[in-house]
Amino acid sequence: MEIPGVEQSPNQSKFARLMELLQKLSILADAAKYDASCASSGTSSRSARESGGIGSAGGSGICHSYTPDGRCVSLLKILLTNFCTYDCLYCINRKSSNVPRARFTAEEVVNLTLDFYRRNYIEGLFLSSGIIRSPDYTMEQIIRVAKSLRVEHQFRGYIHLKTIPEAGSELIQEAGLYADRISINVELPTQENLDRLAPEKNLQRIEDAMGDIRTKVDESREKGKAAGPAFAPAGQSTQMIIGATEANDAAILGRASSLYSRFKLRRVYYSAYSPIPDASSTLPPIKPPLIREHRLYQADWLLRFYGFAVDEITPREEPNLDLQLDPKSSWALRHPEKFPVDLNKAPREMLLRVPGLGVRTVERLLQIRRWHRITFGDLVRLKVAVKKVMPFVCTSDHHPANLESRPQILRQQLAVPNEQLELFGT
Amino acid sequence: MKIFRIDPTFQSWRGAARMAISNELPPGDCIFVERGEASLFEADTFAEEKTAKEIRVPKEFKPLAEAVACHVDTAKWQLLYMLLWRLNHGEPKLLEISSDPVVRRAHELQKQVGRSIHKMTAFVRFREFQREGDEKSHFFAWYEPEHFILNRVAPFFRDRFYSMNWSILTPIGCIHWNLKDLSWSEPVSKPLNLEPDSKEELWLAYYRSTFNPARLKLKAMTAEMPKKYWKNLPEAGTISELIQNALPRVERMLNRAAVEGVDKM
Repeated sequence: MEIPGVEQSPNQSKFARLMELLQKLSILADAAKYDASCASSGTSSRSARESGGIGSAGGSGICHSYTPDGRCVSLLKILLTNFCTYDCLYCINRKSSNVPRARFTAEEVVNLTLDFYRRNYIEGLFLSSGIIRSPDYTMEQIIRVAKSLRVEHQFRGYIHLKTIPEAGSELIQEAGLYADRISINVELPTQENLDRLAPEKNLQRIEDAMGDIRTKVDESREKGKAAGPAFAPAGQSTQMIIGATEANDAAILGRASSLYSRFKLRRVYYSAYSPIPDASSTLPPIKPPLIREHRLYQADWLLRFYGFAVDEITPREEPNLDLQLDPKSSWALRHPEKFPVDLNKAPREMLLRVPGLGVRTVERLLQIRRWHRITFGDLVRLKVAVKKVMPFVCTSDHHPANLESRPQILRQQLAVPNEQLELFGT
Repeated sequence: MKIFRIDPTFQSWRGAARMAISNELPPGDCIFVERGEASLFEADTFAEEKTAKEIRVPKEFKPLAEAVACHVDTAKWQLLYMLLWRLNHGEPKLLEISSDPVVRRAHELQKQVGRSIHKMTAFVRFREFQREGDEKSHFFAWYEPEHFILNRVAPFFRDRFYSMNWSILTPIGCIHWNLKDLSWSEPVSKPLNLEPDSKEELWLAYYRSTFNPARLKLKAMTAEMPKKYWKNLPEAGTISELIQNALPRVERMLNRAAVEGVDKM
């Protein structure tokens, strides 16, 4: 409609559109940031050179920036909308929260992704959404974005799609054809926890959906490339919130380990429950337990790469990780009889259990000892944290006393003082 | 003392090193000097005495040497020759002994070059520029690499931004892509004065919003994004404001939650 006397310049409407987009982006990025997953690695190798279009992936993934919370910015991590019919108490977007709401169109997300990608700000898109209308409807909206990027724009960058366990299996199938990674957040380790804080969520349904995804990933891998695009070549991941309930570390690691082994998850992310605007009064107004989160990641690494079992890391009598001590040192001090370990003789499995020796160093030591006897000087030159390692290992020129008489003294030496833990991260 | 004048490339060093090995010159008796670089040694430039023979090295050597050759430290040529000499004089498995000081040093240089390549793929920032009358826009970036890595990163940018015209300008040379060919041009000493394009504001808004003020961890940030990179990252301009406002924001959230908790009891 033309209003006589009022001329709207194209610049003005352009400006209004930009302001609206800025506002939506601010709301929907804020709404997505409590999801810790950021990986853009481990997917199939490909690039626009082979196909036209834009983008590439494969290899180690790239963190394009870091925010002052120390987290990397790898993907444009946003929600399609933060309107939600669910009322998960820990969530900033729950139905009962008063946060401002917004919704992107599919086209807006596609354009933002491409515009950011062309400027080398990001590796790709992480898209999630509040549940609107129905799980199937929401899933369809998410898929529209991914399909447009992949098919219309021949986008070869990384796409991570959050899937909704209640959505139909054929929708998850379609999502996996466009996405590198798909994920479903379990959020809390037990059904009892979910019942209290996330009444719409059901652990059994979540696990069924993860099982379904695993089958699809496995089938697609068996068929190989000839059968068309791979289903979620970077696999699936999940997240658990830490500190919103009183669940102990044994329960959290137990759930993680079970999900890893049953559904071949690539990653479990641990996200310290963090104060949010308009938080539910049912939840403790706490500072995020960042040290605990850090110890859980260390324990997770021990489960996946160091051959530890959950009950070794969190035995029945100590179901929570020691905040002052890394979990490998804790285990070593509970088992002084296994030390010192002879670096010239011990098998790989045992070397991996030495506090302060990482996987890479262990591989190097195994290689070196084929050619000469390992000396303490080798450790120094490999830049091993020798002070930490010293009490636990023998070399040809270093023989520490038995550990059994002094685990307490060692604990004092290794433990991070409480004051320092306070400063952790800053 | 024999001096080998070389170009600053792996190929040029390799030619000279083959010659030196073929003539049984131990590392203490020869040096490799980049053309144009002054040398402290007053010695004759090496004249060919014997044709170079083929030298056998383990397959790990070439990728290691190629990476080390990109390092900014010119002592790298001598270091590489030391490795090559020892591999050929009774230590064929030397590279497996990563605690050996020379191997260790080579690995360090390799790692620094690798990190520099990785950071360049991460921190280059393009700005779009549309010249009047041109059908397609052109994307420009200014970047300051720590090592001589342009040849190594060029294919990455070509393959990723295949359908864009782009140029990356640096103080050690410039790379250009015109949808068909990569080309190189002379270094430029200063950043282009290019206005932020219309999308940069969206990026800054995203960066501000994705930051969680309740998890301030500055050391973790600067470990991965050291301050030396900040001047060419548009989002880094918001960092001090984000840090300053973080604590008050969190306190507001915590206080509000506490007050409401009391109200509802």
